[in-house]
Amino acid sequence: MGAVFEVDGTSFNKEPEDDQLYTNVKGTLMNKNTMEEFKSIEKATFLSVVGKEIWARIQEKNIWINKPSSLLHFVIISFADLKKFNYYYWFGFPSPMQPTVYMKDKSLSIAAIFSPKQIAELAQIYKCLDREQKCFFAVTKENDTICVKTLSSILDLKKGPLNNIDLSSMYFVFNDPSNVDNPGWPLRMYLAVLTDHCPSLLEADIKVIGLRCNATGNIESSRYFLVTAAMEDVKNKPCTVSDFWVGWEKNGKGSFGPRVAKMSASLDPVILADTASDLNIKLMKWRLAPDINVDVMKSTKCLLLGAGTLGCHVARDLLAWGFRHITFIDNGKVSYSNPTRQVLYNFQDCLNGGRDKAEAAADSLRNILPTAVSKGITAHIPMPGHPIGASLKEETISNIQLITKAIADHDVIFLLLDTREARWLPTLIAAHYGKIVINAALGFDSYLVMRHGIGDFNPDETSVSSTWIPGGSLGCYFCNDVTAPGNSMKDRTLDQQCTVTRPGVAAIAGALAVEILVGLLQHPLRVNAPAVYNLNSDTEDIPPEFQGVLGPIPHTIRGFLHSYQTVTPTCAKFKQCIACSEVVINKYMQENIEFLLEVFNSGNYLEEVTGLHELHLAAEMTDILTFSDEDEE
Amino acid sequence: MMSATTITIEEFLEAAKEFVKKSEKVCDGWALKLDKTDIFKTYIKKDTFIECPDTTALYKIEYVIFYNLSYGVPSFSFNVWNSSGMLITLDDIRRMSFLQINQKDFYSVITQQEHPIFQRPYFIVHPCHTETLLAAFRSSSKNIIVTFLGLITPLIKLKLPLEFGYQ
Repeated sequence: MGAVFEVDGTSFNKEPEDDQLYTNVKGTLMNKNTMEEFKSIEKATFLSVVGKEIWARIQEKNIWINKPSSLLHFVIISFADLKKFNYYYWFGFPSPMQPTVYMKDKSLSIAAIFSPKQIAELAQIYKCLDREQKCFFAVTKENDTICVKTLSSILDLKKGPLNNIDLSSMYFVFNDPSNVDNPGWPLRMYLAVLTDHCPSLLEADIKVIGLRCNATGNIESSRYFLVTAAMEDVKNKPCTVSDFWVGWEKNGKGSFGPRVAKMSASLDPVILADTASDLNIKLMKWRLAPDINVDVMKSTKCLLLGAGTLGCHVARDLLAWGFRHITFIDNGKVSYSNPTRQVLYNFQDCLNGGRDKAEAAADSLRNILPTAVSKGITAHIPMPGHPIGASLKEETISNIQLITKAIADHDVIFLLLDTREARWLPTLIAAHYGKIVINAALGFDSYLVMRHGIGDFNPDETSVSSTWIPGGSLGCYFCNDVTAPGNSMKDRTLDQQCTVTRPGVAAIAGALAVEILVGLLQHPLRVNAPAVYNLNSDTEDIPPEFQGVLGPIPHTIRGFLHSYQTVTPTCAKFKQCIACSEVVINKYMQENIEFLLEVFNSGNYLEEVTGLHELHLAAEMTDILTFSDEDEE
Repeated sequence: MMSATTITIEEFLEAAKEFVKKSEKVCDGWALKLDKTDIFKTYIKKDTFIECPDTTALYKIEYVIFYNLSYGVPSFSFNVWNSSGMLITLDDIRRMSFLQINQKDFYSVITQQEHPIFQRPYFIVHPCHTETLLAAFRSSSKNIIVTFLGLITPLIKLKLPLEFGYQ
């Protein structure tokens, strides 16, 4: 590895840090304010202007003889695109084009001309030289010893050498940044000033040492060059040393052009926030769960139906797990009672009648993490048993289309609504499209969180002796009910009518809903991950194929805050389900809007379609028979 | 009696000073950055360059050894930049051959974390096994940092001159 030319923040210091093996080079940074200005710099002219200035400066009282380090100079032209954090830069090391330098022979290792003892002497000389003399000096061999000659000891300050230079024993040494057989850029400048000052050196054989010092002060990779320098015509015209300058650096592609540093990953606060929050999930993978798929969360699109207490909690937990694509559907506005429980809203959202919840929730997510892809859809979800009047028919149909498209466009549908019947339409549409559905519902101090199976009803897969149900055959929210949804204002079980709840319930249920989803996504079978009947046994007893990366995934979680109890029942699909059964989905596929409107107008219609009505009658008959049996005894 | 296996900040500082002195002798480039107001923020660091053998691309590496207060051991951290000053990602580091870590164990050995001293992301060698390993060499160790680096260098190609082992 050759020498490294380093420019960093400390390069702007007036006094460079004292580091023994570093050579300090002064330079000029020219930063342009626009890309156009940067591009329009005439590169060759620019370098010649800079070169002439350098030449004029060192010629003044021949300052370079006492201070050889003044011969080294570099330039940077740059442009900073501060919006994208792209930094364009181009280094130039101005070197005179004339005299032309010829290498008389292939370069040799320093060991070919100096003995180990002499090399050690040279290394010591180099180490002890003043910083300003280190870059360019000369040495002679005298009686097998190396003697240092600073430039001021061999050159007359006015013109020419002090004494005749014996080129056979004089070696001109320069600090060589090259790591190939050819010498580095400072040699051009060295020979230019030497031959300009002592014209007798022109076209003479000059011995040169390219001193290559490594980090420990070792100079054994130094090279010996035998060179001549001659002034030649440029464009068929004689020229002076300061007329033409070269030295633009090639970029990474090997062509003459600027380099670009794309620094957004370490400077753009938006990207910093995104990667820092990602780091939390990666740490889980690196430290605890090496098989976790980090990318699946990023690519999974979630649709949250309901942006209330549950919706807010679910959205925040999704963000925490690395989900980036979250859409809300809600038709409410943020009211003054909301912000304390609904964690995405604040007081400002309540003013002037309140913002649309779906939109406010999406904005809030982007405030938390700007890289979140979030939007709000304000739409009312039509419900069975809530008849649609003629005036609302058009709007209802348009809402249904909006909701249908949203479900089709997402991978996961969260049902976080406050009534039982509002869950019917999205359950049906999601079942039709085969989407993952996670359902959460709250009571005063109880909650229900469950996942829906999306396969066909298959009684063969579930027998009495089985200890588990395949994911596809798991029941939906409505499978375990034997009534169609109607008006929920009537007294129902607590988890079926959410209005007043203990504040912690939504946080718990929301968190569990997200954890169930992540469990599914991390399971090799995803939505088809089986659910075991008895989760309460030690998870070590559950066969590994039932567990995903994060453990077994329950079908349903019912929690009771009153007694701090949780149960995890597992239930199969019901073939007469009013939401996900084949007969309902078929009817929906055939009649679509007409079928839906009929359901909205009368909940009982679903009971007729599915045959539940007859089941009810049969159930009543069984009751009678049973009673009569008892009577006989 | 239970013997202490962790080391104190004072022991760390002592070893760090001695280590840097040895480094100066052999020009290994380690420097002590003493923080007098908060001694736990004292660390030693070395800047160096490496060339990727496959692409000949040049990288700048900063090694930092600091005192890990929670584990009571020295901790090793580093960052790598390309020649334009862009920070290299963990996945890129994993593919770079200057680390000799089994690809499978890589993430359990090295992770990117917010650095406890600089509050910026750094690659940190996880300190969880350091204490047990150091304990085995503790009584025979002349300098705990040399011993510590001796344990790290099989993982990270860190050319440690043999002179560090001399008295």
